[in-house]
Amino acid sequence: MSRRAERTPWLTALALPGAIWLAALVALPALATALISLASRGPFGEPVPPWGLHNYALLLTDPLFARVLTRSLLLGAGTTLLCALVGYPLAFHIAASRRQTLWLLAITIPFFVNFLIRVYAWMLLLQKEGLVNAAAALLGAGPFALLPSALAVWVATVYTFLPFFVLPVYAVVERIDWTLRDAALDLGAPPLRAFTAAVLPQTLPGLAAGAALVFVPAAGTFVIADLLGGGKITLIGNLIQLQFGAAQHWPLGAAASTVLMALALLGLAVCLRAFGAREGGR
Amino acid sequence: MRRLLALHAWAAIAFLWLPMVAVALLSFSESRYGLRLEGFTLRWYANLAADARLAEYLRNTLVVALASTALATALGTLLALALARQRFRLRAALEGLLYLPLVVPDVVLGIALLILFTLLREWLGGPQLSLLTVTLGHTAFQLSYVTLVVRARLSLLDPALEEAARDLGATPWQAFAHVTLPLLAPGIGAGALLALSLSLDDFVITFFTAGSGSTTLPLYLYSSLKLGVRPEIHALSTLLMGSTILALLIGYLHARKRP
Amino acid sequence: MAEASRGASAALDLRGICRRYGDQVVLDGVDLEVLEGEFFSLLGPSGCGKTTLLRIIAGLEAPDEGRVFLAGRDMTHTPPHLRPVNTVFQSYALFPHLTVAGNVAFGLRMRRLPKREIRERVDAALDLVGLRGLAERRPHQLSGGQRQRVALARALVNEPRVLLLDEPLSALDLALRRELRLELVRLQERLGLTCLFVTHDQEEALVLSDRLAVMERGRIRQVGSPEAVYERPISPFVARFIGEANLIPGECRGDGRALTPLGELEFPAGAAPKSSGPLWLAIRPEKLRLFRTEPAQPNRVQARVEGIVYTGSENRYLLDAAGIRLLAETLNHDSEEPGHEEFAAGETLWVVLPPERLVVLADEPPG
Repeated sequence: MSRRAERTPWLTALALPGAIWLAALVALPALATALISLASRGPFGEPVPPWGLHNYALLLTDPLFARVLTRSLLLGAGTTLLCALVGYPLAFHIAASRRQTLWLLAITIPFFVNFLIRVYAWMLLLQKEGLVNAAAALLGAGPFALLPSALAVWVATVYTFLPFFVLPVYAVVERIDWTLRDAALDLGAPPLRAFTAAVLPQTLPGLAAGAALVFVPAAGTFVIADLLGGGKITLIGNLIQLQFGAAQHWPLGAAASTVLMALALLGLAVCLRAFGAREGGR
Repeated sequence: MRRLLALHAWAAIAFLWLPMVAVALLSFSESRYGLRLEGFTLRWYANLAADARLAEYLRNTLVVALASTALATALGTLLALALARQRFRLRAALEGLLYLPLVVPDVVLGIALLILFTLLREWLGGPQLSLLTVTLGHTAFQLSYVTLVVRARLSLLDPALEEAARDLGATPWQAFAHVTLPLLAPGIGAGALLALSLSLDDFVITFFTAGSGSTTLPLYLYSSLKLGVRPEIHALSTLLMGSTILALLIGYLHARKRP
Repeated sequence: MAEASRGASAALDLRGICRRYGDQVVLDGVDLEVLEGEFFSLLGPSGCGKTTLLRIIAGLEAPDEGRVFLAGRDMTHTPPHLRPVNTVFQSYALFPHLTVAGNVAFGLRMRRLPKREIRERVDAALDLVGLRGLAERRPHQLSGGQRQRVALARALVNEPRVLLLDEPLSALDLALRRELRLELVRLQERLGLTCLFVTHDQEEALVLSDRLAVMERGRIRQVGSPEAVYERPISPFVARFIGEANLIPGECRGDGRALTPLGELEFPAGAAPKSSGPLWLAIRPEKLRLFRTEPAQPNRVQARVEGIVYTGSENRYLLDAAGIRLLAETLNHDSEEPGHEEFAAGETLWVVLPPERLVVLADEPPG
């Protein structure tokens, strides 16, 4: 006898303030961005008529934009993959550990430490006279020119997003039904096969959540590339920020931003379709 | 296999912690650019204390954090209650809107808010970019986190408890006030803490929604970082890290005390 | 039920209750009357609608059709907090943030009774269930049986006109269940409670009830005293659900005779509703009589012992008679007296189905 949620008007009314808030501060800004992306650039970078798809046409035909977008998506995908390689086994270790809360604290503290400070830490370590080169010198190597570099951007991006990946994966690993693996082993599956057949599928929702929280946000950061990549337009985030800063081309920036938003929504839709239906009940 | 897993875990923790530890250690170093460990000094902390602007930035940061957290917690709790218990039209659209700030890069939300506030000002005489717009901007992403955390807690509540209260003679409001709310309190608290720390931490949204006179600590930190490495920034970073760790430890110990 | 018995003495009266979830019919026209001071059980397999019915009585769910009368008043649309009933939930639903005393006091506090009265009544209720010493404990510090008692005290303290019990013993182990069952009966008699008890455990229902109703697929199939329902089930479903029954299909052949796979069997004259057509003959396992040599009694058939289960005081024989499986139960007398012999697996014996013990059931579609 399942209990079904019933319609009670006064309970639905509770959603109203929050819904209005989200509409005004999330939906409306998103629509405004899409609207501006159709405008042309005025003398001070402000949006003016004529309206059209010319900004998107510019983005699509400009080889620079294609390179920037590819590089950004590559960074997003690579970061997701590296976070998975590091974070997935880590989540299992935490779930199996007797000092679970301490391990979790060790992951959540870096998660909560100011993002800029964590990027700053790498700025510091990777300086020419910094500790990394000092350590390399002890081994008789270097010094290396580590800053600014693409490597620095990659390291700091993985560093920044790792906790975002570990926490959702941990949440599902903790609830794994291990009797399924035991059953697989009992039925004669070799350990690796037992893992891929009985354990891996149970962790998929966590992997998907981790990927959703890492992929697009990592592809879209501009601060890391700004501070560690040497100020050139390297990523799509930088490109967008530049249009609203020095370059003063809001419509173009809005168009690039709309593309990024569309990619994020696409990813969200895929995730919700694959794993959200179960959660929603019925 | 077990061993390998443990080794991997320790290596990952070292990767996460060593850079932060390095910043903290170097903040006490006498080295001129703070890049090497040489001697021990509190000079950089003293320099910080002498900077009067920092007090203002700190005040701005706290005003924004407290105001936005209060708003987001109230709205998010109500939204979670409605979403957890009700089926209604537009529910799917609302869910999508909730997830949007979580999956969209900060820069996208930041410039979207900038465009909105600019258009409002140009067309409807809305407010200048200020602490108000920063606060509103912060609620835009905090609301999602609070709602999801409170809803997760709500989904763990046995619906039979509220029914039992009603069966024992409680009006719908009494059942909510005497049963649901006390049981939900830890979830609401967790959501509020998360929102608070996200606001204190936020740089990108603030960057796009702040005007002159609404500089926060992260904004100041960023402009300093653009200028390069300075030992005073090591010290400031260490102080901020310290307060984060302290807050989390207090939260952890508090949570452990309760059954 | 005669119309005259309705009215003043009915604590609870349900008329034509229907409930649908989408196109799934959960309750299909339920009429039910529970008398003042009666212990009434609703018995049925899971999914038969009994819990939904209880929730409708408590006001936690609304019927699509029908009316709910409590103590003579139509309360079909009264919200749960204004109904003079209280429920002991299957999961107990104790409030984890309140102490035992806080849980028991909850209903009184909601009614804003004076503090002193609340304290006195909570103490009395805790005394009643023997938990006085645990008043300051939290639910998670209690054993299953103690939680059950708290749930009971929490409901009783409000002096409900009808106490609703939703499988309150199902989460406990057998020994504790038996103990609490007796306690429940003692409390009910002492306080003169009116109880509506929902269960899928037929033994529980038989032991506890003044009357019981058997439910199946959203309908009440039979109402009566435990003895009446056990001895005279009206359908194969009821016969099977209450206790064990041997069911033999047959074809009515005039008065008191039926043709079955076991041959022609006699049954009491006038027991069959019609003088021809299909019917079922039911007989309880303990009513079968077994003989080594052919007895001179009607309704005897030959059967083979397929299996034996010793349960201590009884022997249970699984028999095969002309392809029909029969279950027979005999007391363990340890004697060779005819009718009380013991048999071994594989042995052939004579079974007698005493005509006066056969119950004639109308044919019903398999379900």
